[in-house]
Amino acid sequence: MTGPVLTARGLGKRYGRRVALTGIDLDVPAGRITGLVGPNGAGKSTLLGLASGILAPTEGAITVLGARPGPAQLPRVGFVAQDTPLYAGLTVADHLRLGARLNPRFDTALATARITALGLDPRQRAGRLSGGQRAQLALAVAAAKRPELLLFDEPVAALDPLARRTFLSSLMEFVADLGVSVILSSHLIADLERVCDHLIVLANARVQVAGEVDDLLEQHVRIVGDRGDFGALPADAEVIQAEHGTRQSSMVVRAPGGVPGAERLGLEDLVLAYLGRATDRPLEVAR
Amino acid sequence: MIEFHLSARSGVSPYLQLVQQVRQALRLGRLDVGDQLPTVKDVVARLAINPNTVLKAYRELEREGLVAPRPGVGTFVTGLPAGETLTAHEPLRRELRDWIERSRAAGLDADALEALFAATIREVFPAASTSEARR
Amino acid sequence: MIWLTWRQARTQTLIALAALAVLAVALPALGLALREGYRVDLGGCASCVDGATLARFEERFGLLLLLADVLLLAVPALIGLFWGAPLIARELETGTHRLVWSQSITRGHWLAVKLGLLTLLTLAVTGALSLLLTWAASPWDLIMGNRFGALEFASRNVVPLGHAVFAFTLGVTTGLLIRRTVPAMAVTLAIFAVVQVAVPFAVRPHLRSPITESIAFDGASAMKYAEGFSLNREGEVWVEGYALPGAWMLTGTARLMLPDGTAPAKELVEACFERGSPEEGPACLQRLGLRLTVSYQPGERYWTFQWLELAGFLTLAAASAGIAFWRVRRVS
Repeated sequence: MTGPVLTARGLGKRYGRRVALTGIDLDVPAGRITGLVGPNGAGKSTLLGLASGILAPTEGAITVLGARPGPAQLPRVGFVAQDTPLYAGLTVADHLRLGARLNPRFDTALATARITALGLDPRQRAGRLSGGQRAQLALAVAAAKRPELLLFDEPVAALDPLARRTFLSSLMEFVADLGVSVILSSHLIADLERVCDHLIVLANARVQVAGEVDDLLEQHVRIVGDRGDFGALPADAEVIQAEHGTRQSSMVVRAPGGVPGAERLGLEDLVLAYLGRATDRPLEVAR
Repeated sequence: MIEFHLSARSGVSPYLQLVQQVRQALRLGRLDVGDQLPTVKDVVARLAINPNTVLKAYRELEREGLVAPRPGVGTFVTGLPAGETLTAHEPLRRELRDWIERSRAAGLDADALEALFAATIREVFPAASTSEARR
Repeated sequence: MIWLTWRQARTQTLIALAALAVLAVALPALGLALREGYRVDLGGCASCVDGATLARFEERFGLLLLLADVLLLAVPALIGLFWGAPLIARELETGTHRLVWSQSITRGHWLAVKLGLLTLLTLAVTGALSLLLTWAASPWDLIMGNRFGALEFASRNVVPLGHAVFAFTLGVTTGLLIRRTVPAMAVTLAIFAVVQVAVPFAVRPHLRSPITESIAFDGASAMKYAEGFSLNREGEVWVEGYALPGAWMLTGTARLMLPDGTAPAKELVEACFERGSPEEGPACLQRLGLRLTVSYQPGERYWTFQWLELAGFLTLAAASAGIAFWRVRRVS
């Protein structure tokens, strides 16, 4: 799989009159761990729902692994929805069996090994697992399906810091084992900073910025100077956010060619700059 | 075997932290030729980081001639950092120590020293520090 | 998918089988007691015993059979409520549909297996109960001759199967549309109750156009079929509860008229009623050449009606399932 795992062109989704996503253009390359970041209600779940085929777009087109999401794509895409839904009355072993029965390429040995490594009791009912264990079980079932693309909707939002780390460790082990592409969403970039090498920032139903993490870090700088005086910016520079204090001003600038003497930006600050800009410029909701 | 760790506050990218830790271990003699580096899966599981980050760090070390992969076995140390180990620079270290003592006598604390040190390094190696931070 | 469906339905299946096991003892016991009573109390001939003996027999078994009839009527409703409504609604409510829909099977397949297997279970349970009750109650039905009764018709032979399958799919579809278990159960019960009441009174009588017949009032022999007759102030004579054997009478009371369709003279009629004895009145009316018009569904149409109603309910069930298959592709 060398082409993009996900492409979107003019993709949009409305629920009645509410616009959840609009004008989405994306190319997510294969072999990446992509962070999908944005505030709650930005449209992250909707985008993942569209990618998994659980939702159908109302405008534009989405391609996943080279085809439109649909029945033929089901074995190739693993999806763990928000709050990691599991059958509360079914045991851990039942869930693995469910995976084995419902997926042609299901790797029971892989899932069992993971469950054993985590010390989960196969006879335990899923309803009695902790949040972290639920997330791990859902991950094991999704990964043992041996998909080419794994989608996670807010997998760590409800977990304590230790469970977050354990979950991400497991996920990274699966990625190292299976070479699967991953897209995972979070409303906090800090959750994903360590793991993702591709980033999509979503706010107000639109993509604010997307790209390789390394490229983004290279292209964005903070310029601090006397109020209102920034000298000449390079021609290709775009001001993402500017803050003016009484004496100093600070700007976050996207400058693909770099700005001499400017300070580098952490990923979190970069994301916050785009989210800040999105808040200043809310989407005009089409009526 | 080397145990990697990551500092979120350092401002250095995870990939570079791994490279630096291997280099430092080699310089300090904690790693030697023939030693094995942890597998990508082990590092990934321990640090919860992207496998690509580890691969990239190992490729960088390989490019520098410090390590080489043996297919199916793992990645092994094959060389030491260019030049010498830090022990060869004992006179420099002594001078630095003298300088630090003088700075303390002049009223500079550790924070101030670190800031001064970092700023001076950036002054002397402007190109090197940015290119390293990038790749 | 078959395994998952079975795994999810295991508890309810075991409960159903336990209930079925109890009834598989109780209903044959009732049937045997009924046969014993028929042989001993009635001497094997219902028309040979006096009214009081028959009334005692009716009193002894009437309530039990009524309970059994009501049970057979309730089973489809229970299946609709407890198997149908939660089947999809519970998944939507707890979000597990998003787990199962992200496995490698389509929603259509998922719904088809769930719907199919539980329909089979519904048919098996209802079929077994109907068979048991139909056998147990057969002597009673023979004596009472009321196979078309609203309760009796719906609790014997193949009709319960139609009711149960319809109630089940209705529950499934309602659950899919409402997405919440308890409201879906309430709506399923409401719709099914309306159908259960509307069908015997508004639909079933019209499944075939009834036979309307003008019958000569032949005095005493006619009175064997009727519950009585009455004369009102206007001089109209009404025969009440005229019933042909085995038939489903749609006319409750019928007015006695002359063959040309005109009303008989008031004085003549009143004169008949002034004769004292019970036998002389009908005989007098017979001499006037009066006739009554009744409409009914003859007894031999019983099986036609059973199959028609089964087909009707299965059609409703299929329509309901069709909506479910259409809808499941659009749910998020």
